Amino acid sequence: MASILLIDDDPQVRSVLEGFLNHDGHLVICADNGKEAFRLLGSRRFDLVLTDIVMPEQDGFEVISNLTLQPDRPRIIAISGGSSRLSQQMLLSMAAKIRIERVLAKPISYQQLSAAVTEVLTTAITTTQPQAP
Amino acid sequence: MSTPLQPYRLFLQHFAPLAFLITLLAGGFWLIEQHGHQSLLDGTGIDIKPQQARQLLDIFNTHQLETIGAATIIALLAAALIAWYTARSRLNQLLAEQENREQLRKIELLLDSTLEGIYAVDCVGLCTMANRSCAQLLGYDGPHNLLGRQMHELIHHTRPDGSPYPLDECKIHTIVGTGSAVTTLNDVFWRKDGSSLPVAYTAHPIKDGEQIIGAVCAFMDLSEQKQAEAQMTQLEDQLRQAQKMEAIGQLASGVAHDFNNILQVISGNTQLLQIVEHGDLNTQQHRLNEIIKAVERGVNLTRAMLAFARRQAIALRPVELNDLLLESVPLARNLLAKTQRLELQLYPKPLTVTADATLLQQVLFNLLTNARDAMPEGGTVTIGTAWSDQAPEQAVAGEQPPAGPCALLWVQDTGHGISAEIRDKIFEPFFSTKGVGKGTGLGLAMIYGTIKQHHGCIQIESEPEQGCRVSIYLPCIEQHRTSS
Repeated sequence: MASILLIDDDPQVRSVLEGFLNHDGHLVICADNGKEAFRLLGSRRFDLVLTDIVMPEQDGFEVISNLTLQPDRPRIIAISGGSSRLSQQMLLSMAAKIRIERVLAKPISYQQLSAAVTEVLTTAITTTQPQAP
Repeated sequence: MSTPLQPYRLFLQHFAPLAFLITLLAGGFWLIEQHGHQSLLDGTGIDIKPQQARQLLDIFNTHQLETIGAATIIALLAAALIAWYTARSRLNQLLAEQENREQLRKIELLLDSTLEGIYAVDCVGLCTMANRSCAQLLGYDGPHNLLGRQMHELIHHTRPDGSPYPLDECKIHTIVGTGSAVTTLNDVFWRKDGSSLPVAYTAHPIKDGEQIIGAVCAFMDLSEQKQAEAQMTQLEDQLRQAQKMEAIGQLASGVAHDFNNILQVISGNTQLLQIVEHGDLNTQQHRLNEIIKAVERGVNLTRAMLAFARRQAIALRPVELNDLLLESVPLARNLLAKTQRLELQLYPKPLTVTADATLLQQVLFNLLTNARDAMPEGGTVTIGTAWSDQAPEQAVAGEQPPAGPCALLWVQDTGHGISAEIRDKIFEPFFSTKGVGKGTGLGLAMIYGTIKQHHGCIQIESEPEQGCRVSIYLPCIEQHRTSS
């Protein structure tokens, strides 16, 4: 049972992913853009941030990159709507700025998401390169 | 070439013959008179002793010598003067001729140093002069090969498209009759070997006082220019192709992104229906609706993509804009949220354009959707028509803004407006400030494409937080003005 911040500007996608996470008993709070996410992050503590990599704007990530500076930061899982190859590229460019625990590609199944969340929550915060999807 | 001795030489040349003649005459005269003295004495009848006669004869001879001598000297002096004047004028003449030759040589040098080919013809069209460039460009050994030739028949006999070019139509030849200059930027001369030479030429009449005695033509070889133009066109084509590929690439990745979201929604809701046991019916119904909505999104996406990509065979007919707007009002009200008002501002007179009514309506709805999304807290959307005598220069257009009077179709909202930077990008496919799920990002690109097909242009007036007004300018086929 973890508190998870879900960031995605597609309301239908939010509804689905929230459903997945609720089924595993997690507490999910949603934000539909980077600004709102930042506000929420400032208001309470989260165990995990699940965020869409929105193309072309990445304001969500810019907000989150500030998190890596904090000592007790939440884990981060990124979900990409683009191709898996693009995710790799995104990963590499973002790895320089922030450390992401996992990158997943849409469409993701319940099993995949569940497994990824569990795994990320039980491992320590990584200080090495994150894993590719 | 004049030398320092030349004046003296000339003088002697003129004087010597005269002096010789005078001396000859004087000598001859003296000889004749010699014998005359004796008969003169005898003729007097006076008795003279031989000794006295000899003395008299001597006196006569001396006198005669003196007279002839004096006369000769005077004659020689006169001759010297004449000779001097003649020599001087001859010298001037020689100097003038030399100067002329020098001038001529300089002019020839000048003409032969130009890049342009220059030639002159007389009133019949025969070549009277040609410079070195002319001969060279046309493939002849030298200007002398061209002199006397009928120039039009030689180098200007056929048009660039291959059709024959008769002499009496030749622009250069007709100058002799009209007396007015001619400039042609794109023509063809024919070389000696039969190949073509792209040229630009100017031709002027040659006037001697008031009379036209011929024409002079100066022409430039355009081969390099043509080559450069061809290369430029090729590069432009390549650039356009590359841009198109890039646009298609962007389109494809945007579409992929959207589709992945749609698939996530469909697969996710399906899975949730499967895994959530004993879920309540309402939630289940909701999930099923979500799936249907997602499918609709997919359908709209493909439709929008096709509309953007395909070269539509649009059906253009006369469309009256006020009628179109009135017809669209019920659907428009449906599009807007409950907190949003719809208002109409129609031009008081009919405005007819040549358009595809369905496409125009689609444009209108796209604009209304944008207006709606710009006012999440509610507001007023006004749609209207207007007339303008010309399209604005600052508009976003396909190629060129339409010339002449235009009919306008405009949509105005009271929403958060558009900043200048975003205004430049909004017609890019998939650029959207709304976020995924709200619109495809293809709406404005579709509008741009449609308006371009209608030969119109689009103007956007907006500032952040001050609403936005999008005006579509279309060429107006009937002018209806208000009396102002």
